Amino acid sequence: MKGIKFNTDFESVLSPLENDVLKVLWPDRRMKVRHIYDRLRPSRNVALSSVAVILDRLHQKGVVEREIETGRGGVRYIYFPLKDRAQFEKSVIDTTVNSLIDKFGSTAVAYFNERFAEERRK
Amino acid sequence: MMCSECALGFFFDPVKIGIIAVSLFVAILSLCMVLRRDLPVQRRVYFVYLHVAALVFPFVYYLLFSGCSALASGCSRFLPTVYLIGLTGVISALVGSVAAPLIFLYGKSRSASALQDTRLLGFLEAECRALAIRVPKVLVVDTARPVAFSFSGLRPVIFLSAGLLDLLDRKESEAVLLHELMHIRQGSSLLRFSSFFMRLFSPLAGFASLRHELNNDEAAADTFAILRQGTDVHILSAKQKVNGYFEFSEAS
Repeated sequence: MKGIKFNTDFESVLSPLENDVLKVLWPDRRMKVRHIYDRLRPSRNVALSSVAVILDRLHQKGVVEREIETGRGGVRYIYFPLKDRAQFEKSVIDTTVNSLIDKFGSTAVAYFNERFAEERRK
Repeated sequence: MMCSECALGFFFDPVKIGIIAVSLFVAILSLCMVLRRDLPVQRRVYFVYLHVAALVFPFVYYLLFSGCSALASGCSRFLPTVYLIGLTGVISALVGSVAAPLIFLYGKSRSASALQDTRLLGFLEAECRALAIRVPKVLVVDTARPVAFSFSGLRPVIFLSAGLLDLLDRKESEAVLLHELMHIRQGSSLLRFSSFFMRLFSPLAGFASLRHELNNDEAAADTFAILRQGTDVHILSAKQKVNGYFEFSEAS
């Protein structure tokens, strides 16, 4: 794949803040809103309430799941990703390919065949 | 079995039209009472329910009357008609005053669980003792939207969302609880619900807004929290966080 830079962000399917929140959540797996906020704060100017909105949105999109945890600190949501990074990448590719096939039909399929054959020859 | 003759004849019967006219007159009269600011709030709330019940009355009456043949008494006899009016009145009153609040509470309680935070509950009990009011049940609603509301019925209940507790620190949560306790003491949750209920059921609700009273109650609840905590820092920061959530949610 010479000359092609693979973008490890998912800005085509996620907003920049959703992307940043997921980057924090993937390695640590289970986190509270406040912990995610604490991790994001040094690198970007963001409010706690904005992080809460983004996490709820990711939950609605089915990217993260949440549970209510009751501990010494009171009642808190614990968020965790439903897919790891690799699985999420696959689902993004799957969605993108499906939308291309839906839009361009046999032209897209022919192009993919041609392109995959080319890749195999390499 | 449907009594189609009765159902069609309903609209041409002067007695029935008269009954409906009286019902609408009561609805308008009770709406005028809701508008009277010299009356105590609790009494005005009763008129909200009377207003809704009077509006519901013609519909329930028609539905019962349409099925009158099933009562095996016929439609034209005097006594069954009186019974029918009585039954309509009871059903309308139940719908207007009891069923709707209960359905609302049941719906909210279904998705909620009891708060287990002993420190916050301890704080609440101490404040209730100071206020000499019954300790409300605190339920956590499973939603990320930061909301808090209370209901003062037989057993007062405070609903807090998990999203709200996520955003607030301990002092801010205490400020919200104090705010809701004041609403319970004032009975303003009933006023708020009644206002919502009236807007939901009555096309005339626009003429009798309770917004002024609701704003006054909000200000009084905030003042109470500030006085109890000795500072406005916590209630203001709690409000700022909640407003920030909804502003960001709408903007992005």
